[in-house]
Amino acid sequence: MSLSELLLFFVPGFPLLLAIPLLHRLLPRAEYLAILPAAMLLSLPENIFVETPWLLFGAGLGSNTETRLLLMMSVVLWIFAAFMQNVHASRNSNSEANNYHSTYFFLTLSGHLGAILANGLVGFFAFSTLIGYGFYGLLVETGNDTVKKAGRIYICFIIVADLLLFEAALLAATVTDDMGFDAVRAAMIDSSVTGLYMTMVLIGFALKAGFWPMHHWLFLTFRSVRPATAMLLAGVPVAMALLGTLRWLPLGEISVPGLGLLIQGIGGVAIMYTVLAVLIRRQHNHPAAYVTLTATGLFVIALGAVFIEPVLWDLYASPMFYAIVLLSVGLALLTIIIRWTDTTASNQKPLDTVLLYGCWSEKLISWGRRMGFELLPRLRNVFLVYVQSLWRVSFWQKNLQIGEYYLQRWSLAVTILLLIGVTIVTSLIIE
Amino acid sequence: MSLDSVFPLFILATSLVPGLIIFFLPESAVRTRISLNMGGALIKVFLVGIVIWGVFNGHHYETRLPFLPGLDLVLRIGALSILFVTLSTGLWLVTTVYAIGYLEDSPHRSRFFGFFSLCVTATIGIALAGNLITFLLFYELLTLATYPLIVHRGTEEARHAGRTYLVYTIMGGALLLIGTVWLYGITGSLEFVHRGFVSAIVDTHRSSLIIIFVLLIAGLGVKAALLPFHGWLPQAMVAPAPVSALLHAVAVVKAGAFGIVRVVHDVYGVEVAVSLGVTLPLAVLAAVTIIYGSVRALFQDDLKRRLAFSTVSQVSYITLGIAVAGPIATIGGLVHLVHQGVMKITLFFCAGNLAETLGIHKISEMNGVGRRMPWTMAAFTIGAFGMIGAPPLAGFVSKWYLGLGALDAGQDWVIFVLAGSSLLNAAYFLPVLHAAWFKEPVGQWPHEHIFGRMETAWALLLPPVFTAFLSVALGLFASVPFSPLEWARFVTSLEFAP
Amino acid sequence: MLTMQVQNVPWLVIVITLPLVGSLLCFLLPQQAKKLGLMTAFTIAASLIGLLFQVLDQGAQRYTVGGWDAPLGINLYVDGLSLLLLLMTALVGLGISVYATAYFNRDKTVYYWPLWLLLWSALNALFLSADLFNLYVCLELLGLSAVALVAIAGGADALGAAIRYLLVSLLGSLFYLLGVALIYHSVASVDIIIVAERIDATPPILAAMGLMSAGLLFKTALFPMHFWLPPAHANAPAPVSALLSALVVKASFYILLRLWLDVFPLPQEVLGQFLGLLGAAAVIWGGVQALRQTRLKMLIAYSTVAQIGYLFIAFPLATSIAWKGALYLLLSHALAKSAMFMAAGNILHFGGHDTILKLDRVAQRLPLTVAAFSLAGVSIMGLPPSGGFIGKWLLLNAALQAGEWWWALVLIGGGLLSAGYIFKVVGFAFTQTEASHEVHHVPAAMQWTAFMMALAAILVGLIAPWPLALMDIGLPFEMVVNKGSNG
Repeated sequence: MSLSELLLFFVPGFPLLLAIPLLHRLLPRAEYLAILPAAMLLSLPENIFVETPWLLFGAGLGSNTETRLLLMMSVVLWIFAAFMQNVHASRNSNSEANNYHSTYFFLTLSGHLGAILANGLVGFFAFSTLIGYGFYGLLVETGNDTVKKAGRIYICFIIVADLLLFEAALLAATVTDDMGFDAVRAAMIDSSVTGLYMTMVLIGFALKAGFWPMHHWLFLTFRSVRPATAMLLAGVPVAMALLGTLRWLPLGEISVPGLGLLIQGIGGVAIMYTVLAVLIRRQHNHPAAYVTLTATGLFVIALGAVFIEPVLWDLYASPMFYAIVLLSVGLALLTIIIRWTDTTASNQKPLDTVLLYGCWSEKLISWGRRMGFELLPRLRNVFLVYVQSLWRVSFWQKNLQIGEYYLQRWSLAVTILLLIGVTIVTSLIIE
Repeated sequence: MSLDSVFPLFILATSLVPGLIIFFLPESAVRTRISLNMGGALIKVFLVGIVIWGVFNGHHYETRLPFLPGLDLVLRIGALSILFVTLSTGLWLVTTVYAIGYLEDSPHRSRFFGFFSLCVTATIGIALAGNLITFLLFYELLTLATYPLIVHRGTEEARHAGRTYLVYTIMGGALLLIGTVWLYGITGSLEFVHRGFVSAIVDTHRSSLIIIFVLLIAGLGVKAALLPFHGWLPQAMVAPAPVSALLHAVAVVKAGAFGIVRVVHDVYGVEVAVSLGVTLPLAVLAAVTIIYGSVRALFQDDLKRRLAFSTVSQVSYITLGIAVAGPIATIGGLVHLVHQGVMKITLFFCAGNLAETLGIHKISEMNGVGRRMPWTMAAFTIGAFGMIGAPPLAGFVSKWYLGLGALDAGQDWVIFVLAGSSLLNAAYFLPVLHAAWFKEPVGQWPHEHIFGRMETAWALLLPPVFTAFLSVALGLFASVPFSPLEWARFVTSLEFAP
Repeated sequence: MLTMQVQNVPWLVIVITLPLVGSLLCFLLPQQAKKLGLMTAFTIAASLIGLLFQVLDQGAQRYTVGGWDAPLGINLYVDGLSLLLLLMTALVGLGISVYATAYFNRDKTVYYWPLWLLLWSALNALFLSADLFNLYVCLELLGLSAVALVAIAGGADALGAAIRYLLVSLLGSLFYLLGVALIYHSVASVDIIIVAERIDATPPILAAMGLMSAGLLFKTALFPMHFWLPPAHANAPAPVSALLSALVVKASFYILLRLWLDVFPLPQEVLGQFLGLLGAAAVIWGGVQALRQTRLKMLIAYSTVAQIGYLFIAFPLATSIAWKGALYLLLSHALAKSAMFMAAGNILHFGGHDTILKLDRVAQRLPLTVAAFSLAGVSIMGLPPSGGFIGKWLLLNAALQAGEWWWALVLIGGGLLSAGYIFKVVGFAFTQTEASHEVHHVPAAMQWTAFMMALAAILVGLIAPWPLALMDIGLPFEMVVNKGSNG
């Protein structure tokens, strides 16, 4: 394995290693160091690929022009995030909390870099899961109630999204052995499971991106999390989810007009919603959130268009790609600017749901909790009480005692003895 | 009497002989006991290594002793045996280290370690059994050897749990016995043969074979915690943590699941089983158990009980994989046998650490534990994520193959079961992790032991960290030659007609 | 040369006369009773080994005492079946002898040894007898010495049980004697082989069969005539209980088996089913009653009732495998039950009581005894690897082969019940209670004998092919076809 291939491994691997608290406490400026391999990779102009059939199911990592752009974006983003994290750390001196913050930082970083570099379905999925859980850590770490609520919703979505993506990957595995992106896309062009696969992928990544109507956590997060994390918000989970749709779906090869129209419709509604929300609520929420939602809405409309007219993919491919990059960087800047200029951002009133059904996710969770912890156990108790009443030992005890007593009476014993003799004789006669 | 024919006996002896000696040691002979234990475990690992190399080079290890008229006691080392033997041996070593640390200064250690070794002997015997009667012998021996471990503490609760355990397992043993005798009566042989030995009489004895299958699976299902025979498992949690780890990861539940694998593949053969129509009900039963176990786990506040119900659910994955009766699903089931063992033992070790070091038994007491015991909780996190099926951990690999196998065999409903189970797993594991890492501790720990500068004793910390590391490695390097996955693939290729 | 000499020694006679002589010596020299008794036990065991070699080499043996052949003289006959039972007696007897040397105090020793050796001699003679009247004599002798041994313990309970046992024994033997008389009247001989040739299904013969069977069933304590057994076995001193449960009840079973196989005209299907039914009832009843007991020795005694029921399940099946299974159960039961009673004796000696609920104070301090009880329990439950499992397996095999699956259910049910009462006792070994204050030290001989007996019960399960092969010597289970044909 050449040095450059080894470097590919280090890009997501080094931050993963540094996630161990012991290690990153030893290294000074660990956050910046973690991004170093990625920066080094950027300096290599050629495309590098590495296939590892013995790793997991044969996942691979690779870098080409596209990924280099994304990589550059991520390097910039994370350097800023590290810088803001250090600023924040120097202001609050709770070192223990900061230690674990670093762990989540590194985990998310590793996931981000890995997802960018991943060459195959399984690898992308693995790193995407890592992003999800690492980011959850970053979220909840802040500690206030709003972000905890956001975190709860986020983790539920992540779990469902991961499940859907897992099933989608399984579907892909049934039609092709090679799980690289190109092979999967080619196999999905005409197979029986394409429709199901695409639906699952779309819903899964929509959940991960916080796309409307599952945007609630996004809004909550922008408001209440610390600046470093807010900055990463658009760049990491959202952007990676959008990237996922671009990579997993066989865009430009197949034409699914119905699905395309549906998606376009949803994108349009999302944008309308944003406009309405801004007008009605008058900037109650963080503007970055609205911008994100609008941007993703536009993205989705473009996606729908590609579904309707595959040819458009050649036109749209790069712009959509750049859009992701722009989204990440732009929103990061926006967030920072807004945060620095609006120092009263922390005194926001608790968010009452925009247009009512934004809280549907919360209602679902509380209903589930009621059912699970109250209704079902109560039913079970009733059943158990009934069953218990069927066991009564004392009745048997008494009768056995009586039986044994009678057998011991001589009269009975001798009678039985003679009876047995008679029975034996009779049975012999019967033969 | 070549060396090859005595080797299996050696492997058994490495845990039997130390066990018998330990019984007669006085309580104070700590060093002798530890050296016997560790010595036995290490020698066994060494021997198993030799055996694997030997099988790879074409050696045929088989011990045959006359037992009954027409039946021999057979210990044979085949591909499937190696899977289970390696798991048992490796995890026994780890659990021995843990148990030595856990039970320091407890009463009756000689008794404990004696029965502990007997338990492992019985497990190895089950793994190496070459016919159904040998399997039955060691299966019952396992029951007898694990009972004293469950009641070790001697509290009223422990004795009650032991009684429940006995009721279930002795009845299971009785069912297994009837099934075996009946099978012997109609086939005249009980040897394990690849692809089964009943194919000759399938047409003439259809209904008998179906009933025998039900009896055998019921008898084995008690130990494998299939619904409705799982009731003993949550109650057996009163045992000390090393016992729970051993029972739930290595010995008892896996023995039951392993037995089901043997019955479906080496007694009946997959094609025969499918043609008899018994695999679909078994798959449904396994699926119901999976969901039921996960649902029950949601309501438990006691950590070990939650893990117990999680075991009920997870071991049925193995049964499900076998019952779906396709080659890929079988690979998934077999590899889950190994992977679930490693992940579950990590979780139980961590639970034991929490109980020993901080006196924590309930999840509601676990707030903020991540700060006090980071390594333990990190291992727990890895184990939990493995159970949920997050890549690239070991659990992901087995779930992948199970799902793929189900799709491959045309049993699409299994996907929903797997998905539902993953959701439920996340629902009962993630709150625990959240509480441990993100919440603040509420007051003092219930009962704290200080172990110097480390968060807990060396012997308690190393095993879970090691097995957590192993879970990651098993998942990450799943396609390496000689990994459990590749071995499961090899075993499956022997069981299915080409 | 030596082997030639060994083969020609009349071991049959030696095996019978040696314990008689020993008993006489113990009676005459009470001070040396213990040593003499133990020595005699060892020599009997040694002579049995000689007999074993002789039979292995030369097959079934027939010996005419004094050179006078039947129908005038007494014949002694040994085949595989008798040899197995003789060996069982020797092994258990040896264990009991060692145990008894440590158990009894001075005064009781004087009574114990002569009676015990007399009983042993009667037992050996019974297993070697080849004619019906001889069997009666041995049976009577056996019963009387057993009653006397029960009464050694003294105290109201023991004496009451002994009197009841005496009446039962006499009644049973009386019935048997009446049967023999009737047969002699019809056939003019009591030698088994001659009787088998001449027997016919005439009313006197049928009545004789009925009487003899009833008497023997009474003495074997088959349900529902088992009521005398638990008090007798529970109130006797521990070594006596051991030998009663392990050996004495088996003697009348042996006679019944011989009659069934060699004498009674066949076929006996209805009778077989009847006996099997009684056996099944005994298994269930004994097991359930054992669960209810509060005293350890009563529990073990009821366990004997249940285990005897198992033996009778072989009768309806009547194949070679079934008989072998029953005999294997008999053998392992002898070993296991003696171990159990010895363990109970240890506990009684240690704590002064044998109430089960209070066992935990005692059990913690006697690990060897508890181990003995548990190992014996494993054999009683029929769990592998033990002799009980082998017997159970063979019987299950026979039942399923004959298509009579209900006996299989009875066997399994009996196993479950025995698991219940065994673990009820064993569970007490694992509690956290403090040991009680008043303890009497238990001699090592007593603990180790109990343990060795239990170990033997387990080991017998691992060497199954040899006893099974032994049983086949002389083909005792081949039921002669042309019985009852000529006169």
